[in-house]
Amino acid sequence: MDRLLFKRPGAPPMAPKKPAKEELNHIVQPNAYFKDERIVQVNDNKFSIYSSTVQKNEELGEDHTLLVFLHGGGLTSMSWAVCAQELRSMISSRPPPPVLHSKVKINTGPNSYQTVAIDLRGHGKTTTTDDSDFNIDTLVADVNGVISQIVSSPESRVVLIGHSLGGCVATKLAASKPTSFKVTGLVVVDVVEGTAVLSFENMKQVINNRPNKFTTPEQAIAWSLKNGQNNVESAQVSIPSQLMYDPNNQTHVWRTNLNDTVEHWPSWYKGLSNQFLSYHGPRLLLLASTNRLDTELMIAQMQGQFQMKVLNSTGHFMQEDEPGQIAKVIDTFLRTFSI
Amino acid sequence: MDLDKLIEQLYNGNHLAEADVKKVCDMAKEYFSQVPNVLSIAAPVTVCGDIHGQFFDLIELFRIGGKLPNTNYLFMGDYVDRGYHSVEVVTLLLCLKLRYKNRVNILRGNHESRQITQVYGFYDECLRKYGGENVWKMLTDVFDYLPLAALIDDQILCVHGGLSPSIDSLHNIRALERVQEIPLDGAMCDLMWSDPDERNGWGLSPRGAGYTFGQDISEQFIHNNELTVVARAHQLVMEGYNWSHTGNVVTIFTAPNYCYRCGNKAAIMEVDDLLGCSFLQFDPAPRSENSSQAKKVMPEYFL
Repeated sequence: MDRLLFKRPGAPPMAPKKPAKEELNHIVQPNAYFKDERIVQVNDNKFSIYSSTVQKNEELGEDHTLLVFLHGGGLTSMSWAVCAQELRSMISSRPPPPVLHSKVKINTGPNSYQTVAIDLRGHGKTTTTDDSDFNIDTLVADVNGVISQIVSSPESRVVLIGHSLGGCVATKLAASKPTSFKVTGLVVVDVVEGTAVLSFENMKQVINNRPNKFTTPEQAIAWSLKNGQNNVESAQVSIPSQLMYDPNNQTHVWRTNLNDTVEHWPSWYKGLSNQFLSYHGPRLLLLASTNRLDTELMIAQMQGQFQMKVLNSTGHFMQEDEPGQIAKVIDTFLRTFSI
Repeated sequence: MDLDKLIEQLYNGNHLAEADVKKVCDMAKEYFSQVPNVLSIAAPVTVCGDIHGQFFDLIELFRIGGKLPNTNYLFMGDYVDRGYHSVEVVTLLLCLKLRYKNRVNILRGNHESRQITQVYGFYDECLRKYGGENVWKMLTDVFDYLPLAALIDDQILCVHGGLSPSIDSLHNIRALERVQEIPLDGAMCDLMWSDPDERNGWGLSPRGAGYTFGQDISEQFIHNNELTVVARAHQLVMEGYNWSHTGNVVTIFTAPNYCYRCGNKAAIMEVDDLLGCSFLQFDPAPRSENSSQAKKVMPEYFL
């Protein structure tokens, strides 16, 4: 484990420390993609968060928006690493704002953005008093608690961006009208209630078909690239963060036991479409296929109630497969609505 | 070219050969290149909204609204995508247009675009039915030439989406350079993307393209241009039609049970000689694609 995992130029540095023998250790995650990595404590739970700031221009004012990235089930903040980096680079090189018609009154957008990714309970380097409590209400309360500690005032602007399970958390948090910050936008990546509910059996199979241990993280990366993941850089940063080292058996195992999540799935998806529609700020739904829409969302989409983007070229892990394209769609969304 | 033969072939549910599509497209481009941005048409006419590839429902529409050439029709765009027979729908409408030039008129909708059709099904359908993208290319080239609006007896303005903050008068629409892919913003984009809204003034559209416009906007536009009504499509309405802005704006949606599962009625609007508007609602055709061809939702992974 001492040797460098990442050999590509510019790739993140690898774990500096050796795991202690007595406990299962996470591979230290590469943080080349986020400037800061720290722990935010909420009650007795310690949430691992990663952040970087980007300015639209020279002035870094009070006027900034927090972009909160939430990962899917079994993944970690690193699932968003490449995409968030691309997004920051797009924001920093933004052309002048689009010239809107003078008759249309809109706010000017924020001067700067802070991108923050949070490891959800039971995932990544977050440690909690009950790592197997995957109930949606717990996860939403967790994220609400973490964001509340980061923001400076109840007027602070937050755009929630969630993939899959993270999309459920983002949606339910946005719909719950949190009081310690303002949700000014909602981005949900490839999760739809009606379609997810139909897929429970299939999802169980997918989980059970995964190998449960790897000799090395490289082996896990190779496995992932053979099984649907198609972006090498994303796999290299995302996959190791999903593993932890078991020194007793000298193997790398999944950090998150997805089988523990099965009983909570109904809570994740139930009412999701309705809650997505009950949030009244700007909404963007990113899908890997048009066939994903359930009837409720299809009607709403056809009534023009939210923005939808379909990228047929990606699989379910959209922001890992096409980080640049997803970043571009999100950047355009932020610009269009000046959020 | 024997348009009657092609029309009969399409009525029977068989798509045209690629060579015939090419002939139809060449003829259509030639024809539409001579047509103004804003068509002037005379009542009586039956106005229709989105069709979205629901071919059997289009046939049902003609059964309910009256056969050609005895009834005049105006279609307000969105012929393709979503449904399984976009190719048949759009080629039939083009053939009918060319066959009955003074009886049928068709406008452009936001789905008559290269970008949108690559995502929402029309491109894939062309590949599937013709084994290549030629037909898609030919038809999307025709889309660039479709007119943007129609004016019924100088009083009812028909457009796919709605109004634009860049457009104060019909003259502004007439002055647009329309033969191009639908731009991402600006007047031409707005005509095909905007929606009426309960809030006054102009607003950013939740769709991310076009604008929302309030009753104050539609009132002023109607007053300034001496109109009575703006008729448009673009939004699914459960009854198939819906009046808004206290009668300034009417939405017409003509794909029943949209996408084979939304449970909505379809409607067409009959405008009589005196410009009275009445509506005919209808349900999906018995021979609709519902059960047999609707794709089963594939199980996926959403954790």
